[in-house]
Formats: sequence, C-alpha cells, structure tokens
Amino acid sequence: MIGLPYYLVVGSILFGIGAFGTVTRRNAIAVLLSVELMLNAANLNFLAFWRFLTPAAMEPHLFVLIGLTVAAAEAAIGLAIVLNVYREYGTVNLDQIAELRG
Amino acid sequence: MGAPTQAIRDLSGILPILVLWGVALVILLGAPLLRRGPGSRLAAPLGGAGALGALLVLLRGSSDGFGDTLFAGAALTDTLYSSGAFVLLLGGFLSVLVAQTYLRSRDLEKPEYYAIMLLSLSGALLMMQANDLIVLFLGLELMSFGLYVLAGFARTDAKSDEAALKYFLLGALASALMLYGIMLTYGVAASTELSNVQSAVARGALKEPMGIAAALLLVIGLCFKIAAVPFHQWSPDVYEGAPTSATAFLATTAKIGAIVAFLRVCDTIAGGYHTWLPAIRAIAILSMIVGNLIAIAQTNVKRMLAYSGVAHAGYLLVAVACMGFRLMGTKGTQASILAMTGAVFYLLAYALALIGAFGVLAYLSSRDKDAQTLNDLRGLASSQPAVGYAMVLFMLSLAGIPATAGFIGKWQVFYAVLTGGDVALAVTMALTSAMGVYYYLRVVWYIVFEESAAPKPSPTGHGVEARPRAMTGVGAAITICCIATIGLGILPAAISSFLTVVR
Amino acid sequence: MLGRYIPLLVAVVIAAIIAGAMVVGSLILGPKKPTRFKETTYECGMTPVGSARDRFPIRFYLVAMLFIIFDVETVFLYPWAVTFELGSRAERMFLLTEMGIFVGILLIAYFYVVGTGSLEWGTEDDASSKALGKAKAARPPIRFGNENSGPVSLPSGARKAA
Repeated sequence: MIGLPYYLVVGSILFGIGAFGTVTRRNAIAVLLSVELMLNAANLNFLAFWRFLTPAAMEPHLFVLIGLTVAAAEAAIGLAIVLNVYREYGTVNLDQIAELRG
Repeated sequence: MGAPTQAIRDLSGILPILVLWGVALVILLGAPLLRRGPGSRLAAPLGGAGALGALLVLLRGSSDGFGDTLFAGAALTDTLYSSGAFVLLLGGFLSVLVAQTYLRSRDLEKPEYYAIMLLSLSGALLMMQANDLIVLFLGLELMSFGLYVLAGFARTDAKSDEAALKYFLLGALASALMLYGIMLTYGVAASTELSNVQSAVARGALKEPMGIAAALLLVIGLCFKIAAVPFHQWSPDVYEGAPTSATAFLATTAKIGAIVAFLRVCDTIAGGYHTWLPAIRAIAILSMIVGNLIAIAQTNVKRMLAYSGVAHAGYLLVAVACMGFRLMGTKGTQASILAMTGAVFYLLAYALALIGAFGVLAYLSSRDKDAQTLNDLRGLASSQPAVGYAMVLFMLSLAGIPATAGFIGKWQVFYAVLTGGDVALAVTMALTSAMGVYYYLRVVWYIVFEESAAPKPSPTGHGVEARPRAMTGVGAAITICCIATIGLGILPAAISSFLTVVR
Repeated sequence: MLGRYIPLLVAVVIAAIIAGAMVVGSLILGPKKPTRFKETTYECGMTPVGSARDRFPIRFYLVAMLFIIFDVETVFLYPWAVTFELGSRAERMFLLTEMGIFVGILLIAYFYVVGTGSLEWGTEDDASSKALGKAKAARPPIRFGNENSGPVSLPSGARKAA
C-alpha cells in the first residue's frame, strides 16, 4: 500500500527541485518554471492530505483549484513581464539584467 | 437562515472590497474611452472615487456588526481589520492623487493603472479580513499581482521592467513558500481556518517538525512581502526602478496588508511562541540594524527610503513579536493588544510620511527629469519653500522626532514591547532609531542648507513643466500628508476611535 | 498489495518490447535510399520554407496568455456544477445568480480585451501589425527547393544520416 509518506516525499522532492532551480537557474523563464513546480508540490500534498487525513472534507480540492488559478495568473503576469524585459534588454538572463545597483 | 439572507450578510461584510472591484471593473470596461481624448481626464478621478468610496463604506459599516465571521468562517470583520483597512484605503487614495500628477507629467497615464491599483487594494483588504490561511494567500496574491504590474508600468523604461522582473520572481518564490507552509499547516491541523489552527497549536502542533516547518515557511513568506532582512534584497532595486507613484503605492500597500496579516497569524499561533518568537526577534533586530546601516550609504533618495523601509519593517516586527507575549500573563496580553493598536498607528504614520516623501519626488519630476537623488533636492527650501519644508517634515516623521505622527507610532510600539518585558528588543529599537536620525537629517541638510545646483528658477518656475503644480493631485496629497502628520503628532487621540484595536 | 500491479507491469513490459522490436526491426531491415528531398521536413506535401527556429510574432504569446487565464477560470465551473445538483430549488436560483456574476466578471474581462484591441490581428494602420509586416520583410527570401537549383538546406541530423 502506498501511504501518505510516499506522497509527502514526492512533494518535498518536487519542492526541493523547484527551490534549487529558483536559486541556481539564470534564465528568468526557467526560474518561473521552478516556482510553478514548487506550487504544484504544494497542490500534490494537499490532495495527499485529503486522501489520507480528511477524506470527508472537500476543502483540499478547492485549495488545489485556487492554487492552479493563482499559478496560471502568475504565469501570465510573469511572462508579460519577461517579454517586456526582453524588449528592453534583448536577453532573459538574470545576470545580464542588472542596471539597478547600489 | 436561508442562503440568500446569509449571502447578503456576508457580502455586506466585504462591502469595501466590492466597491473597489466595482469601480475597477467600470474603469476596465471604459478603458477604450478613458485611454485618450477628453475621457483620459476621468480615469484618475474614478480611481480616487473608488478608494474614497471604499473608505466611506468602511467607516459607515464600522458602527455595527463587528467581530463576525463571514462566508462560513473564511473571512471576518474585527477592529484589527477595520483599523488596518482605514489606513490602507487612506494610503490608496493619497497614492491615486500622487499618481494622477506623476503619470501625466511622465506620459505614462493609462486607465489600467488605477484599475490595477484598486484591485491591489482589494487584495490587501482580503488579506486583512482573512480568517483562513488560503484566503490570506489569495488576498496576498491578488495584492502582489497588481504590485508587480505597477512596478513595471513604465514599459519602455529598462529600469522599470527590471524592477518588475525582480519583484515578480522573488515575490513568486515567497508565495510558493507560503503555499507550501499553508499545505503543511493543513497536514498538522486538518484545516486552514485560523480558529482550528489555534486549537491545533494549543494541542502542541508547533512541537512537531511539520508544524515548525509550516510556521517558519509562513513567517518567511510574509517577511518577503514586508522586506525584512534577510529577505529584503529586492526592495531597493524595486523602489528605485518602479515609477515613483507606484513605489509610493507598493511600499505602503504591501507593508500595511502584510503586517496586519502577520499580526493576525502570529496572534493565532501565540500558543507556540517558543517556535517562532526567536525567529521573529532575530529578523526584527537584523532588519533594524542592517536597514539603518545601509541606508546611510545611499545617495538615491528612493533607495534610501527602501532601506529605511527595511528598518521600519524591523520596528513593525517588534510589534509582531509582541503577539507572542499574549499567553504570558495579563501583562503579556496587554502588550499584545497595545502592540496591535501601535502597529496600526505606526503604519498610518509611515504611510503618510512615505507617500508624502514620494509625492515630493513626484512633484519635482517632469517629462525629461525623474527626481530621485539627493542632488535633486539640493536647496529646495529656498527654491520651492513649501515643498521643501514638507519634505523636511516627512523626514522628521520617518525619523520619529517628537510632535510628528512618526514619533507617536514609534512610542506606542516601544511602550508595548516594554510592557511585554522584552528589554533587548526595546533597546535595539531605541538605538537604531537614533542611528536612523542621521540619514534622515542628511536629507534635511541638503534641502535646507545646501545651495541649489541649478540657477534660481524664474518666477514661472523652471522650463516647460513649470505650470503651477500646487493645485494638482500631488499638491493635494502632500498637503493632506503634512496636515495629518503634524495633526496626529500633536493630537493622536483625534483618530483613536478608528484605530484602536479591541480584543 | 503491490501484487495487484504485476499484470499492469507485464503489459507495460510487453508493449515496450513490441514497440522496441518494431523500431529496431525497421532500422535493420528497411531499405534506405536517402535523397535530398526525402530528407526535407514533411509538411503536408508542401515545400518547407525557412528554418523551423523562427521567431513568432508577439501576438501569439498574448493570445496564449489570454487563453490560459480564461481556460483556467472555467475550472471553477466544475465544483459549482457538482454542488448545483445538491441544492434545493431556492438555493439553485441563488447558485445560478452567483455563477452569473462570476461569468459576468469574465465577460467584462473579455470586453476589456476586445476593447483594447488585443485580439485584433490587424489592419494595416494598426501599429503592431506594421511591426509584424516589418518582421516578415526582414526574413530571408523564400526559396522553393524544387524550382531552385540551389541546395536545400537539410536539418543537421538528416545530413549526418546521409
């Protein structure tokens, strides 16, 4: 039987990959993807908790839907910002986007 | 009670949010008309009317029905919310006034700016009303999305785009951390409703590893939003790069929304203070020291205000730390309530002074010159005395000099933490405040004692943009901020009926 | 408990073996007479034009983003639809009103998108479609391999195989 810990481990691995990517990747879009991975790790664990801890409750489903919507809105805004940055800088490499220093 | 009557009761509890949404949607619907031609004059008044309308609705509603939970426990209305909302909406209205002049003078005005502002304000309101961590998350995101866009509103300005990107990436990371923390909370408490979280904490949930991780992730996520050390790196870049009116707005809105939510969350998990109180205290002390130290080295006023914002986040975290004393006897309970009232007053004083200061920068900006540095302020007291001395007043208020609102706010938080018996925090607060006076007074020095670099302007002002600005939005904003800063500094009791938090 | 999954595992393994055998078999047994035109990308019988690594007009991204937003919003219709069945008559009217408000807000967003011209692919006086035209002009001239004596550029992988 696959129990709750398995799901939690998968979730935390996803979260870890996302966190690692956010910190190490220099491409703005890759960072955005990593963040989405972290959000999805949380969504996965919500469903695991629902299945094993509170099978009668409906909230976790809604939490996942809210999480998905937020992630989609975030992606849309993020990509729009990245597009604007690309227009001005001609790159999406975070190391080369550094006019603001001080 | 039938579903419709219940719904009407619930909806009337979030009436300010509904007003903001309604006006924002009207602006969006009318956007094609408001974009150019005679309609473009209407966008800013509509935005201002939205914020002001929400404020009036809030004040009318505050006489009855408080302490209720709404939407089956998802949201609530209490005095912490209503006083925080008062500060937030006032700040929002003043930001609209600043934006009206600044955007026009920099050719950035679009109706969407005001719609996004109102939506962002509604997110912050939702965050303060949240009685459920997921609702808090939703409000936080709604607020942040608007702020990301506003930071990058000057689309053809590379700095503005860069600011938006940095703000967005770090903000998104913070919200991912927060969602993970909320998920872990659900794992521990089997619910995200604050009352259930509170009882889970009372059962010792914060002694389990998962509970500890959840609390720390929540704290980190909120600390990102208020730019506390070590999660502050985005703030100077964003403050500098964003259009000045957007900086004024995002600096105040994010801080008010996140601090009120922070107070509520920490009040809820006060039972497990041994887990999170040391972390908050460390972050508060670090923020006060680091923020004040780095601010000294800045020559760009926007960056300086960003680092000073970090320091102010530290002072506000002192108030948040007081939530941890709630269950430590009557003194502790008293301290936590005092800290809530103090924090809200502090936020009001901070918002007034900050919007005023950015308003002065906006006032001095024109199509081809964006006032940002200390040099731009040189000799302001002799060239434009009214604005110059207004800026002096705002700096004194931020520094916490007596007879200004900033002093009262700082004193209230200081008094609360002393009541709670945390001498270390109180001493750090006093010492770093004294440190902060240095760089605020340096701005004053530039304004009052340095000679103006530019030749004295002709009576009509300097150049093309010299039409009298005093009658425009930013002039009104600066005037209101000035009067309120002095008024609250001398008569803080005048507003206490709106701002006192009752438990 | 995991024993239940063994038939599934066997099926997966068999499928993998068969699929693998087909690919390997055709690699070994199939006749290979590559010509230049056989190696070009197959595009519905049309001659391929230009490189596949082309930059798309920015409008595609805008439409894609709008699509994502509207698409994900519909996800809220599902829990609503499930709950709708459970309500009494009066409650259903209430639920219907609520969903009407939700869809109404989406509709306003749609009007905004249309009103600001984000969905217009452009008449010639539209500034962004001018930019689009410029991008077209900047592309290398189109060459038809079968009419032109010049070599058809092949994907690097195909050239190696040849």
